[in-house]
Amino acid sequence: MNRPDIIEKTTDFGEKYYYARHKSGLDVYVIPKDFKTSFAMFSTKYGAIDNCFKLAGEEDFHEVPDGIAHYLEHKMFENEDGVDTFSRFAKYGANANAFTSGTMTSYLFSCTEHLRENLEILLDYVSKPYFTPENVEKERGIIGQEIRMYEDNPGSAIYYNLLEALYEKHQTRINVAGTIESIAKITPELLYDCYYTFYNFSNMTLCVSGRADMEMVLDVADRILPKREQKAIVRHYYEEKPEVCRKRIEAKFEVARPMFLIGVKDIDISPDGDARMKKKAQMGILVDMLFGSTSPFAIDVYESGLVNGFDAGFDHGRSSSMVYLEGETDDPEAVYAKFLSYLEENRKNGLSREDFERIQRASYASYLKMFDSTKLAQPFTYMIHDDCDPFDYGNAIRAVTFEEISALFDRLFHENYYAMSVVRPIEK
Amino acid sequence: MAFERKELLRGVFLNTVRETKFKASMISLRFVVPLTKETAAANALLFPVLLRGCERYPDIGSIRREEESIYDTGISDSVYKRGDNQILEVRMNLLDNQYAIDGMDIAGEATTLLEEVLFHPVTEDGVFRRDYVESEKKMLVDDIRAQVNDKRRYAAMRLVEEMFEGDPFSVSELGTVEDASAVSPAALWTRYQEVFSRARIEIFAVGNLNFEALASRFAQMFSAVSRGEPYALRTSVMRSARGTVKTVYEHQNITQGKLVLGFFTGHSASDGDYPVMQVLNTVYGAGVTSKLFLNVREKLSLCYYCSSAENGQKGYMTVSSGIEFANEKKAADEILLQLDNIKNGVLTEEEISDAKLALIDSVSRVEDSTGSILNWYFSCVMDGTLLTPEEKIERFRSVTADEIVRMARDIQLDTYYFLCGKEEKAK
Repeated sequence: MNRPDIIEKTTDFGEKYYYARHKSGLDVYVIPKDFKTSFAMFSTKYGAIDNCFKLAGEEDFHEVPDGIAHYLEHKMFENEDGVDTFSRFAKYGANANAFTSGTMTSYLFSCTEHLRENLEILLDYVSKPYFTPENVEKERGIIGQEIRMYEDNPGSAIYYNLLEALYEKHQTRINVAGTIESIAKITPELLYDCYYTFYNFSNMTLCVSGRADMEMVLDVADRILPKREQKAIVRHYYEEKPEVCRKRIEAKFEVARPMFLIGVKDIDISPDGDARMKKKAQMGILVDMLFGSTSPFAIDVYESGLVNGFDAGFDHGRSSSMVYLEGETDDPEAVYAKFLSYLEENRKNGLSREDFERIQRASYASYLKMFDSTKLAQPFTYMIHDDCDPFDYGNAIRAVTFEEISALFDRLFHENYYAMSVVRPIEK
Repeated sequence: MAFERKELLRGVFLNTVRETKFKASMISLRFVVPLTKETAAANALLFPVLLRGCERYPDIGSIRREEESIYDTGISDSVYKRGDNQILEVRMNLLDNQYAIDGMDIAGEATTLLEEVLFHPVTEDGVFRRDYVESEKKMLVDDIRAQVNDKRRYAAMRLVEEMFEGDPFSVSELGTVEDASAVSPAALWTRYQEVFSRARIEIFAVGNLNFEALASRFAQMFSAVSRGEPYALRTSVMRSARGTVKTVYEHQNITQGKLVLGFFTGHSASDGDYPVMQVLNTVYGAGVTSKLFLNVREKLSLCYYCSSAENGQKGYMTVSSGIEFANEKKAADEILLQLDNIKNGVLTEEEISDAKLALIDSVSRVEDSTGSILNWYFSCVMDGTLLTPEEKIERFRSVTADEIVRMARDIQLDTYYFLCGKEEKAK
């Protein structure tokens, strides 16, 4: 059977993918790769931030406890016949897993044999929820220990503290796993409500990389996916002001040396996917110019010994956008002061065109290297969920101009947008 | 995936694997030296100091800018331990020349930079620059102290320290704060000469590169050092446990306890039957169909993670889990019960076949990344068992239940370590 509705897209660096919208409403992507490993990711645009929602036509919003998207992910592995999902995959040698982020829940596997059978299992278990009071209760102990594990993790604490400092109300603040108190409120009914809202196939994607062909994948979808009404979801997110909520936030842990995480809040997020992709390419180059490994800032804090393990990065997606800088230092305030004066200097002297050209080329090289990954379906899915075409991102990087970078620099960096989260050692 | 190996100079080997499906190739140099308390910290400092400046690029900024110009070909360095050896590595991930927008010979430029860094460091009074050494020492000391930050890894490291007390393997690959602080520029310079002259040097080139050109390039590079007597590298496999179990409780201000148990297995990766141990470990505690996952986590809801790992260089196995302090005994009992079950033959054909399939799957995918190809063949040359992934798969297939049970009976608990809260008492 030949499917006329399959779209093929190619690049000038030897890659291609196929796209089709399955009749269930599911967006399906296949990226053929000459690897032994195939990798599949079945994802819903639903994460920790989606705690207030309704279906189109409904009167009231549903408000659900923090951590429920993640709890739901754990419980999807439960099956009515009592057979454990992992052991189903194990019969075909697949390595299966799942994760939840702020904006997405993904179910995935990789395998070197039996791709079709493993795909059948993936689509099957994710489309069949089975929640009972007993199995929901059983999970509370396990997830409780997951939460405790993160409570002892300074890296996790410093991150969530920063989000609390940056955002006053927006759901980006919510800890993906929730809290011991919030997960105590989770019931089978709430899980079903979330499931039938967000796991409708028009809110989901399936992305497969490796030795896969689209006909086979669509065939599996035809056979496994139940008929389900397509629903429009209305999500409510809290508005944010451009300024941060608090400038400083601190916690104490059993660590050797203070840690800092500086965040730059950015609420200028376009509703248009292409516009976001352009800005993302610009932000990547700008952040590397200012704080990447060759930047005067990174070299200075390294050579002076002020910071150990310095790193900087950014995030620019549909629901949140920020730049961050992190590391270990004896004096977080000195790092912060240097950060301020460094940006001031750059404002006065302007950015370097030579740095821009070198870093643009390096960014393009690292984009190409992404295609060597057997987990290609993963970065691919991230971009698809953000309404970007992953194959266009390389060209977006190459199209960035020095003038755009300079303009973005002026918009992004203002003192009212900065906050710093610090973890200090417990005094003995 | 064609593997070739040749000795370029005494103790300097070039290992090549041709594979054309990648956009980027890899070149890695691994210097293998004995792990000792006296030298570990200085060895760990060597590549970080070399990467601070060379004659042509005298400071870290100019080295990094050059790396970035060569299509983001960073020279990354790492240090780890493998058995009683310390491995010092520098590695580069090179975009294939065909993708260079400006026609650059990426591999050629990168190799030139690597040679500069390794063989032409900036010097002061005939040795490394003092400020570079002092600055890297400070960072190393910070890294050593920061090992306490990640509780799961810290607990695993502490178990090894306690279990292998008095053995070279107890030494951290980063050395100690005291030893790192004591390294002088002159002493590090001597270390540099000795490591380059006596280490076993395993060079790997994986991907689509001109291997003949690389062979002559590296032969010429290393002919600049006079190669002396290569180190005698050996690892003693521990075969018996101490008569009693060593018990260690450590207290910190934390909310979740970390239980780590250390067992001697007495079996080594150089033994022909080691695949049996790998299947055993997978049945017992590696992965989501294992006895530990299904019982300690899924049945008893005691933890988020509980898993085992085998080490074929020193012949031991560990189990680690994060639990409520109060559940310590319950968890430990269940962990030991599941091992006893294997010793008593309580295991199904299904468990064994699931474990084999998982191992076969992981070996099958070796050829899919330059990094995993590198690790595969590095293990082969270090363990002296040159197998292709296909040959290894056949060995996994042939493992029987009887063999697993027999080998399980050699496993003995040696060290019991619990990282717990300030208020907890030993039970």
